[in-house]
Amino acid sequence: MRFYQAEQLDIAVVGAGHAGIEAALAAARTGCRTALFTLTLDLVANMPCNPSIGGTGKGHLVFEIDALGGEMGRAANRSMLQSRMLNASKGPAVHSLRMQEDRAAYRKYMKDVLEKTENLSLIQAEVIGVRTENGRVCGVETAFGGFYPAKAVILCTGTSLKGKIFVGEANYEAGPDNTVSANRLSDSLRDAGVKLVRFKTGTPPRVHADSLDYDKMERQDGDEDPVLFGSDEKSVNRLPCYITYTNQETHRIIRENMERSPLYSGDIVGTGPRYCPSIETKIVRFPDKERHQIFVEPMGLDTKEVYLQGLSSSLPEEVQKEFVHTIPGLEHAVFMRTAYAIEYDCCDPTQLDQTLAFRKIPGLYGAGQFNGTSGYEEAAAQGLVAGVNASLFVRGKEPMVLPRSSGYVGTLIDDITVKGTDEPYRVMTSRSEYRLLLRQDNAKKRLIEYGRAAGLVTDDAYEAFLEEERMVEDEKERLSSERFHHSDKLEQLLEDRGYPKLAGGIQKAELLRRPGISLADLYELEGAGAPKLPPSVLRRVENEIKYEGYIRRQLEDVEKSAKLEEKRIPEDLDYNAILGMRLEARQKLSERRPATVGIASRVPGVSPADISVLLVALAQYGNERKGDI
Amino acid sequence: MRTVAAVSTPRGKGGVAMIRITGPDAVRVAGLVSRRPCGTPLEETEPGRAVRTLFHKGDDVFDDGMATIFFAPRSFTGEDTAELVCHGGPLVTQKLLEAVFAAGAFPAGPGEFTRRAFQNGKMTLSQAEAVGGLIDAKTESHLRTSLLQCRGSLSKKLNAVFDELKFLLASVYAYIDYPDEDMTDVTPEEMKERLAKIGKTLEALCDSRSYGKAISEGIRAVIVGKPNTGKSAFLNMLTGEDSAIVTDEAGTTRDIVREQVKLGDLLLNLADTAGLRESENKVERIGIGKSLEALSDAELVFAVFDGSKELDENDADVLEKIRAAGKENATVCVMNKEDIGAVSSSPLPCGVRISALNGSGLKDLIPAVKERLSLAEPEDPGEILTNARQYAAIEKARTHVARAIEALGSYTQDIAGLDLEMALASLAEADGRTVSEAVVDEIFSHFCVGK
Repeated sequence: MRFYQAEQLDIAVVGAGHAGIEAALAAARTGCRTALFTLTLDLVANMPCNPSIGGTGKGHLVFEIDALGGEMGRAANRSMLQSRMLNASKGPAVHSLRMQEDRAAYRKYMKDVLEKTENLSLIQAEVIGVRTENGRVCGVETAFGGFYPAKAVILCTGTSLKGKIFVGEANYEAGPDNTVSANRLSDSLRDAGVKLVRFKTGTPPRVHADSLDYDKMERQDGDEDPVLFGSDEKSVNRLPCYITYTNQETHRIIRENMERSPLYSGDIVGTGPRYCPSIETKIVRFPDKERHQIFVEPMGLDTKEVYLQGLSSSLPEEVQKEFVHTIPGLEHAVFMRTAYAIEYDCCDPTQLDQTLAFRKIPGLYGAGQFNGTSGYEEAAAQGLVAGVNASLFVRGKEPMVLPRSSGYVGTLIDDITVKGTDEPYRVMTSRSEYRLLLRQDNAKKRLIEYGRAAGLVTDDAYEAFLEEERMVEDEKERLSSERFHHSDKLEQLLEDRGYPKLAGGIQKAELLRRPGISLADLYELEGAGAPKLPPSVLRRVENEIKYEGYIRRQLEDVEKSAKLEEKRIPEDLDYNAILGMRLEARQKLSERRPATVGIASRVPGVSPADISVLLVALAQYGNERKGDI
Repeated sequence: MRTVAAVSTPRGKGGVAMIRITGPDAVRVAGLVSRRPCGTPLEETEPGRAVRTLFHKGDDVFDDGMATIFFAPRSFTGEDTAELVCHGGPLVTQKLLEAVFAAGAFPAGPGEFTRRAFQNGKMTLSQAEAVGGLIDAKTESHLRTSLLQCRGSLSKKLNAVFDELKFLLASVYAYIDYPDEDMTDVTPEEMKERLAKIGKTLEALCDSRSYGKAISEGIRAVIVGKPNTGKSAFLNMLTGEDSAIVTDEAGTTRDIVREQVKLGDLLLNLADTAGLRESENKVERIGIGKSLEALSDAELVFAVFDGSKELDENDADVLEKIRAAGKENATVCVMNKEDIGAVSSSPLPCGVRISALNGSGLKDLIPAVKERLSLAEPEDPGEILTNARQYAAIEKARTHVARAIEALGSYTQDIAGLDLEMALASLAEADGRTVSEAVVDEIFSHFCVGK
């Protein structure tokens, strides 16, 4: 094929889904000439699966993206239909914000932002090749014969790369929502030395709102006081969701038609996500469960389409209709989009380093589902990190690496690049060993400096952050220095919460530390004297006082592991000379060449015993170096 | 890897001394300082066989000894190694070591031989730790426990706890990661019960520590009594040596005499003190002050009385000082001079009649001490915590389990989950499942040069 020389770029981003958007915005906003390539401009920022942003762990990611200077949080706030804090009755570490979104509004908002961003061109074209020169990336080729020279390329191909849709016995090449699939890029990537694997994911049916019987379902409204991602203008709940359940009859139909699912017939070879399984997988895996919960979610203000969360399936359309009609409230559901499974090419993320660059192909970056993850939020988080790092690379600056202890973005990237993943990776709060430190409420405190250093945080946003910090510290200080004197109101509160009487007064912070007593209770006691602080400040003050002991212990843990985490391994270390290390560990470490002992300790196949041998060998190495001077 | 050498036998005068050389040049270095009477180069002798050789530095032949060479990986360190045995005088040993350094070896650091053995896969970290235990073992029971733990008996016990904690944690994770589904398999009540069981297991392990310490590091014990009741004679009876000066003159012992002695399976770090009495003598008064210090610091007190006479006000004064130090319940009364007569009886509940002069009553002393300190020997010697590092880690795990139970009462499961994670991390540290640099350093820091 002949190529013409198109315009010179600093950075080319392939794919305008949630990863591609953040990557392109980060690159362009930090001054790089950037082009964002998409298969169709009408579906920029599309949500081909659930019409929501956030959820357990995912909510944390959105707060972190916002703190780093990304766009997702703002887009979600402004297009929301409903906001709900999940796990609100549990500890603050696991509070997770989830928002229902108006898909069309979300797409419109994002496309608008992209179009108005300086240094950024939005181009509808299929990228069919990544060109390299002497092992380095030098540009991309499009299906229309354009060669766009670029110093860095970020691959955010989502489920479009060799995408194939399955509905029962029917299958065909396509990307999400029946877009065209990108079929030629995979070979080019393989030629460049990228190892590809095949993953699978799926989506449930959409049905017509007017065909549902809402009286038979439980209504679920948004929180009375909707919380937003990051600091943003107020927003209101616009639409409710509904809950219903599958039953034995649903399960019988699915079981009887199981062999017609391409997942079980062997037509689908890609690995699916364990944490977001199809309904047929749930029934196979949990045969004792009598029912599964189904959330009925609106897709937008201007559409009658309704999303049936929990019914992801690849069974034939006929079977889908039959089992959906057994579910209370859905008996007469009119199908608009049939559920389908989609299989796609993605990379083995252990080829990437912690900046999301391919270790062996300078200038090539990956983000999102292309890196083997699942979820919009995971994708956006990686997009931002890849965009920032590609920009730093192009400008010849030190990369941005987010440590595990800084947040879920860092945890996610460390997990996939070090351990790899054999199924689409989903973030979860249990994946972090520092959960209580990585709360939604302190995301800015943890990450804003990184975003600021990268050039993505505006002066205004930074000033606002400093102001909020000051309020938090002042209020914590005040509660630790003031006391409640004995009063009837105090007595009453203690009695109501099951505490014995106090001899005298009590320090305010100490009262707050008692389980079952909230900051609101304290302010109630203070009456008119209570300060008027923004909710985001109140949440932090309350959490940081209430869980101070746990927070301190986790901080100590971070400090303790920081030593290993930061202990560098010399680049020329000969692992094969360390005989005490098992052969497998020597091979794995020689291949990966981790930068620090902390990373080495997480490489699969490396045991603690191997790490202790490594530590001893490093001490020896250090001694001999010293002795040689 | 450089070649290093050090004297591996104890310092000071001895019959023979051994210098160990290890590293790629070890055999060549050994050859440079050795001259075999038969003329064969040392490098060509059979590995593992000690052969006679003369040690020299240039033309100066200064000793006649033995040399053994080993080739990697068949040696203690897993590297080429030579062991040179010379006569044990400090001067000869020093000369040979200097010759070895002159021939190209570097001085070995503390624990470097064991460290190299570990690095070359000749032993695991816990084995290295147990090697420390084996070298340090002064009692049979400590040796037995070290050997059993070397073979993993403690790990097995900890494994079960580890698995149970992991199971409970998995349930907590389901609870926090799937808020919309009823995924929890374990109710808080059931979790509390299961945690209480884990707590008991860990507590039993921690309890074994006092016995473990008694057989490994030893019990801090002090001998007190008014002057001339035979305290020093009692010490000599325990040590079997004339380590403290024994005379008839009251107030002879003015400084504290310290001894490490074995009492049955127990190890005592004994301090013999100046007699406790009002004294005009300045030096003796300082000695008495030191005695009181030792008393307040002691885990076990031997109060020595002259059992052949009625107790007098000086004895009462001694008892008063014991009470003042809060050591009544840690005191064994030793009623001495049984050979002369048995007039007075023990003023405290725990007493033993002995004669320091003819050694009678020693066998009654052991059960008395064990009873006083509640040192029951645990059923399974492999589950005794002799190692202070492991004890600290398991004790920490125990605290976290207790906290988790508390958290389940007042907070939600996810908060208890944090405690469970910390308990797991502590156990993993005790068990060598996770490593920290501090632990690795700690283990090797216990070794001295030459080990």
